[in-house]
Amino acid sequence: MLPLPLPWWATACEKRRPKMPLSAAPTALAVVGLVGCLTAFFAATIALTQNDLKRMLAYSTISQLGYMFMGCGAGVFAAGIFHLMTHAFFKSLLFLAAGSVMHAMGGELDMRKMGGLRHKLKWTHLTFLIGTLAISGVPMLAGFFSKDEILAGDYEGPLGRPLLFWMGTLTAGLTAFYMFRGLCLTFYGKSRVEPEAEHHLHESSSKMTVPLMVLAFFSIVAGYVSWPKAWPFHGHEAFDHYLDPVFDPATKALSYVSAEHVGGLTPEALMGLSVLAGLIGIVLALWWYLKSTEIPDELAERYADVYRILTHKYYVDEFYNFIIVRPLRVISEKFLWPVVDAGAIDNVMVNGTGRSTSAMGDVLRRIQSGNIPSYATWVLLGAVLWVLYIFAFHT
Amino acid sequence: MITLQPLDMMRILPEIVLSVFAVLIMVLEPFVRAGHKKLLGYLALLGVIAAGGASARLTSLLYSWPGMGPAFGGSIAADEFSSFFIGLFMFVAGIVILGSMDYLERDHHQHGEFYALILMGTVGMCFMAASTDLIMIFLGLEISSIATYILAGYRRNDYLCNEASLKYFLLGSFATAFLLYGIAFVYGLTGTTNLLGASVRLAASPQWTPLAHVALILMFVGLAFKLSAAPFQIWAPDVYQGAPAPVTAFMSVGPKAAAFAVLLRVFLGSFTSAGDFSFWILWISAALTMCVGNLGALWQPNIKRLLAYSSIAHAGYVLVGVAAGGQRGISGVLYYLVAYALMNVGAFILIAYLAGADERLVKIDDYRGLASSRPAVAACLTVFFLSLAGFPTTAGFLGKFFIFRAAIHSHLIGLTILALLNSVVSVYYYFRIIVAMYMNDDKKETADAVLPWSVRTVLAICILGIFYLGLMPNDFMGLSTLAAMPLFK
Amino acid sequence: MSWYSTHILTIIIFLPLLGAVTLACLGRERASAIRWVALLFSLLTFLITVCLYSQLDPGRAGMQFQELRLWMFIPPVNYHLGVDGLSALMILLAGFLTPLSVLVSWKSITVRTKEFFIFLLALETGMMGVFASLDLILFFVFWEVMLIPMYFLIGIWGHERRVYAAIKFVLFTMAGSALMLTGIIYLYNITDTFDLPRIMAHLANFSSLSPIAERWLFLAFFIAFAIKVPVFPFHTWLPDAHVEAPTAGSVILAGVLLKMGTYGMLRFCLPLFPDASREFAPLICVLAIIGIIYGALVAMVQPDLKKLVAYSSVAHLGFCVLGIFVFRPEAIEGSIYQMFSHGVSTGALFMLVGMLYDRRHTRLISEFGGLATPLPVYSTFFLIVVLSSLGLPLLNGFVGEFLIIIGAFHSHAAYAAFASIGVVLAAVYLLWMYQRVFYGEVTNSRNLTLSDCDLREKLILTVMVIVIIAMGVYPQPFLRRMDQSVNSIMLRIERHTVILTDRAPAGHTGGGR
Repeated sequence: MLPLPLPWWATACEKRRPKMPLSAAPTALAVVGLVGCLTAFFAATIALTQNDLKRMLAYSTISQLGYMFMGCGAGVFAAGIFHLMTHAFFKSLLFLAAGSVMHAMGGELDMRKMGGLRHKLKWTHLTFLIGTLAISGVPMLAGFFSKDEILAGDYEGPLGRPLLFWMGTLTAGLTAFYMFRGLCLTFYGKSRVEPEAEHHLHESSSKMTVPLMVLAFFSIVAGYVSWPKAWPFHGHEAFDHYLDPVFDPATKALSYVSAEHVGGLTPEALMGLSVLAGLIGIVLALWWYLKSTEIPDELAERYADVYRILTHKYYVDEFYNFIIVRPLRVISEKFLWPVVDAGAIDNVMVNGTGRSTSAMGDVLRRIQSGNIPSYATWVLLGAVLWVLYIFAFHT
Repeated sequence: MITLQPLDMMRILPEIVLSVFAVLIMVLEPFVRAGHKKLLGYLALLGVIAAGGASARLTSLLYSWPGMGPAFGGSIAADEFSSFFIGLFMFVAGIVILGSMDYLERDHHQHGEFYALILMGTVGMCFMAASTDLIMIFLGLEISSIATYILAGYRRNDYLCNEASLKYFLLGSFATAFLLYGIAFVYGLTGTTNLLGASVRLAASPQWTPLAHVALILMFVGLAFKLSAAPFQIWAPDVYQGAPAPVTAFMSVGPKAAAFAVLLRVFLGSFTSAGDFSFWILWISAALTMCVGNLGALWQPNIKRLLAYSSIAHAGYVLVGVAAGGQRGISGVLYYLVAYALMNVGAFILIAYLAGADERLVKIDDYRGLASSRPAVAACLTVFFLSLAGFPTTAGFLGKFFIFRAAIHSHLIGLTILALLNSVVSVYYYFRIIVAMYMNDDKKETADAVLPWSVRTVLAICILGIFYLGLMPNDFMGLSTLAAMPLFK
Repeated sequence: MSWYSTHILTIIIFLPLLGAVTLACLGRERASAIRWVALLFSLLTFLITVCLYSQLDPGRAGMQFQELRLWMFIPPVNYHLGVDGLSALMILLAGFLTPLSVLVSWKSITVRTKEFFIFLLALETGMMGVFASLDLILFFVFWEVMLIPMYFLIGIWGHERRVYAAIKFVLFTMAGSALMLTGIIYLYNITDTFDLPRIMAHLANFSSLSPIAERWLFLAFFIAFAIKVPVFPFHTWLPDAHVEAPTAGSVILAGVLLKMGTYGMLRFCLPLFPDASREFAPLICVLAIIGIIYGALVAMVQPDLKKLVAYSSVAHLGFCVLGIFVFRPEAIEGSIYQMFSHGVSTGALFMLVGMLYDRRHTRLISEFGGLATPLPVYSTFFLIVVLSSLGLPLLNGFVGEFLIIIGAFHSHAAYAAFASIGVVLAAVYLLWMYQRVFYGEVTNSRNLTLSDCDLREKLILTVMVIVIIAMGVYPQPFLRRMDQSVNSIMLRIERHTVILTDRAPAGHTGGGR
C-alpha cells in the first residue's frame, strides 16, 4: 500500500452502522479515490520491472486493490465490490499457477531463468493465459466487466473525476503490459532454464491443475453476473442490485451531490478507450518480449536510474526501515530497556529502596558496640533528650 | 495504718501459691536424685496450674463474692485487667517450664533453681500487673528483674552468657534507678505513691508543671528500658543472644508484657491529665522502636539476635496500640500480647532445641536445607515466622489488625502507614530464614535428636493457639475488651 | 435448596485446600499418586466452577450465590461470599487454568513433588477466595494468603535467580497491600462496616466521603492494584517473577494473579470512589497507554523468550486498564473479556515456552531457529496462540481489544489511536519472535533431534486452542453474563452525569455481534 494510512476502517465502520453512511462524505471519498488511484498507478509501475514472478503478481494485486478503492472513491461502491470478486478469481488463479511453475522449476521463481515453459506445462500455461487475459481487461472475460464498470464510474459516477478515469485507463494499459511480459518471459520464447532444472520440468499433478481449471472457468464467466444495462440483451446488473440494500443509503446520500462531469464521452467511447489501452499494452509486450527482446535491455540501460528506482520499488521498504523500524529497535534496545527499565525504574527506584533500607540497617547494627558504658550512655542520652523535649515543646 | 484483712490475702492468692511452690522446689531440690530432676519441673508446672486456677477462681467469683477489688489499702487491684495478665504470665511460665525441662537435661544445668527463678519472676510480673501503687510496681519490677538477671546467666560456663547477664544487671539497675527517681518526684509533688491518689492530685492543678512532666518522663525511661523501646533498646540484642534460649523466650514475653501492663495502668489508666504530652511520647517511641527493630534485624546472621531485634520491633507495634489508646487500643494491645507470647515463645523454644548441645548452631546458615531433612520442624518454624510477619490466618495478623484499627480510629494514620511499611520490611528478614530452610539443598548438620514430647507439646499448643487466635478471635477479643474496662473506671 | 447449591462458593474455595491436606497425608515417594490426586481435585473444582458459571443468572443485578456468616464481632467482620458476572468469570478462569497447570508440571517437577502440588492447590484456594469475597477484610486475608504459596512456588522450583524474584514479588505486592489495609480500615471508620454491599449503599449518599478522603482512599486501593496488574511504572517485579517461576507458576501468575489487580479496580475503585476515579482517569489512561507501547517496545528487544512474554503481559494489561478507565460500557466489557482471554492466551504461551524449556533448558531466542521443521505440531499450536495474543479477529484476543478501542475512541480519540499503535507493535514483537524461532533453517544442530509434543502436551494445547477459537468466534455467552456487572459499575460511575433512562444492557449496543 502507499505510505498513507488508508482509512479503510471508515468503510468497516460504515458497515457496522448502516444507519449512518459515513462514507457519503465527499471529502473522505475524494481522499479514498485519490489514494486508490495513486496506489494503482505506482504499484503497476513497480510491477513493470520485477523479475520475481510472485513479486510481480503481488504488486499487481496491490494495483488492483487500488482500482477497488477508486471505485469506492467515485461513489460506485458496487463496482468496487464487483472487481473484488472477479479479482479474487483470476488473481488466485495466477498465484496458484505461479506455484505450479515454481513446483516444476524446483523452487525457482526468477523469470529470467524461465522461458518456453508452455511446451512442458500445458495446463499451467493455458490457465495462466486465461488469467492474464482476464486481468488485462480483454472483452468478454471477467476482468473486463468489473474494470470497465469502475472506469465508467470514475468518469460519470456520482463523485467521478476525469483524472481518475485517465489514470485508470493508463494503469489498465500498464497492467496488460506487465502481465503479458510475465507471460512471455515465463512461457514463451527460448528456454533460459538452467540444465539441472531442465530435468525436473514436468506438468503438475491433477491435484494442482484441476483447481487451476476451475478458477480459469470462473475467470471467464464471473463477469456475466453483472451484464451492463447499456448493452444488448439488456443487462440485468444483477450483482449491483444484489448489493443495493447495503449501499442504498450511501447512494441516496450521494445523489444530492453534483458531480463535475466533463460530459463529453459516451459510455461506448469509455469502453473503447479502456479496451484500446489494454490492447496497446498487449501488443507492446508481445513486441518487446517475443520479437525484439533486446529492446527492454536497451531501455533499461538508457534510463538506468528510472529502472533502478522501479526495481527497488521506490525504496519504500528501505524508507520504512530507516524511519520506523531501525529507530524503534535502537530506542528499545539501547534506551528503553537498559536505561529506563533496568536502570531507572528497577535499579534506582526498586533496588535502590532496598539498598537504602539495608544501609540504614547496617548503621543501626554498628551502634551495638557491646560496650556496657556506651550502652549506659545511650540510656542516659535518651533520658536527657526526652527531658529536653519536654522543655522544648511542653512548657 | 494498713490493717491486713483476709480478703487482701485472697486477692494475691495466685502470687502466694507461686511463691510457695518456688520455695518448695528450692527446698526439695537436694532431695531429688539426679536424673529425676524433671520431677521438679512437673512440680513447678503444678504450681503454675494451681496459681492459674486460683486466678481463675478469683475472676469467676466476680458476681457472687467480692473476689475482685483493691487489696492492701489500694496498693493492689485484683481486677479483670490484672487477671488477664496473670493468666498470660501463668501461660508463659507454664510453656517455658515445659519447654525447658529437656533443655536443662541435655545441657546438664541445675534444674531446681531454674524453675524456682521462673516462678519467682512470674510472681514479680504478677505484682507489676496488679499493682496500683508506684512503690509496689517498683517492687514487682525488681523481683522479676532480679530473677531474670540470674536466669540470663544460667549457662555458667559460657562467657557470652555471663556477659549478657552482667550487662542486663548493670543496665537494668541503671534504668530502674530512673524509674525510682521518677517515683520520688511524684511523691514529692503529690505526697502519695498511690496511682489513684497521685493522679487525682496532679489533675487538680490546671496545668502540669515541668517537674511533673519530668517525673513522668523518668518513669517512662525506666519502663521503656524493660519494654526495649527505642532509644533504650540497646541492651536487648546482646542479652537475648547471650541468654539461654528458653530464658530468652521467657524474657522476651513476660517482663515485656508486665512492663506494658504498668505502662497502660500508669499512662492510660491514671495520669490521663497529662493528655497530649504522654500521647506524643508514645507516638515517637512507637515510631522509633519499630524502625530501629526492623532495620536492625535486616542483616543479622544470628537467629537469636535477629529475633531480638524482631522483639524490639513488635514492642514498637504494641506501642502504636498504646498510643492509640481508648478501649479499642487497649484491647488490641492485650490481644497482641497474647499472640506475641505464642509466637515468640514457640519460636525460641524450637530454636533452643535445634541449636544443639551448648547452643552451637544458632546462625541462619545452620538452618539451610532444614526443610528437606526435617520438614515438620521447618513447617513449624515457618508458621511462627509467618505469624511474626503478620500474614493473615495467623494470630500475628489479627493482633496487628486490631491495633491498626484502633490507631486509625484515633486518627494516627501516619503511624499506621509507618507500621505497615515496617511490616513489609520485616517480611524480608523473616523470609531469609525461610529461604535458608527451603530454598537451599545443602544438608547442614543439625541437632538430629528427635524432639522430646514436652517440646512437641509446646509447639502444638503454640501453633494451634496461633491459628485459633488467627481464625476465631471472638473469645479472646471479648476477654481483652473485658480486661480493658477497669482502666476506664 | 440443597446444601451444595447454597454453599457452592465455599466448596469452590475450600475444595482445593482439602486436596492439599489430602496430599499432605500421602507419602512423598508416591509421586504418581500425588499428581493424580492433585489433578483430580483441580478438575473437580473446575467442574464446579463451570456449574457455577452456567447457573449464573445473566439477567439479575447484584450478587448471587451469597453466603453470610458472622466471623468476628469486634470489629464486625463477616464471612461474606458472593459472585456476579465479573467474579464468576474470574473464578472460571482460575478453575480452568489450575488443572492445566497441574498437567503441564507433570514431568518437569521431579523434586519435592508433594510440596509443589500442595502449594499449587493452596494457591487455588487463595485465588478463589479473592474473587468470591464480599467483605473487605476477608478479601484482604485471601489476597495476602495467596502470596505465600506463590512465594514458595517461585522460590523453590524456579530458575537461577528465583530467590531474588520471589522476595521481590512478595515485598512489592505487600507494600501495596499495606496501603490498601490502611484504606480498608479508614473506610470502616467512616461507614462502620467492612461489608462491601453495605459500604456501597452507605456511599451512595453523597456526603459520606469528603473529596480529599475519597482521593486518598482511591489511591490507597489503586496503588495496591496497580502494583498487581502491573501498571507502568510499578511493573519491574513482573519480568523477574515470570522468568524465574516454574512453568505452572508463570501460568497462574500471568493467567490469574495479574487479573486480580484489574478485578480490584472494577470491584472497588470504580464503584466506591467514582469521583476520584474520574479525577485520576486521565493520568491512569496515560500510564496505561505508556504501558501498552513501552511494554511492546521492550518486549521486542528481549533475547529471552519468557521475558518477552512477560513484557507482553504488561502491554496487554495496559489495554485492560485503559478499558476500565475510559468509563464506557463497551470498553469495560472489553476489558473484562480481555482479562479472560489474556489469561488463556498468555497462559498457553507460557506453557509452550515451558515445553520448549523442558527439552532444551534454555529460553534464549538465539538458541533456536527453524523449529518448524523438527516440531511441526508444536509450531502450529504456537502459531495459533501467537495470533490470539496479537489480537487476530476470530480468535479471542480480538474481541476484547476491539471493544476496548471502540470505547476508548468514544472517550478520547487519541487514546484509541495510541492503543491501536500498541496492537501493531504487538504484531511486531510476536511475529518477529515467531519468525526467529520457527521459520527458516535450523541454525542450531541441537534442535534437530527434539521430539514433538507428546500426548499430554497435545491434550493441554488442544484444550487451550479450542477455548481460544471458541471465544473468538462466539463470545456471546461470556458477554451476556457480564452485562449486569458492567451496568452496575456504570451506574455508580455515572450517578452525577447521566439522568438514567431505559438503558438497554451494554451487550446490545455494539451492533450485531
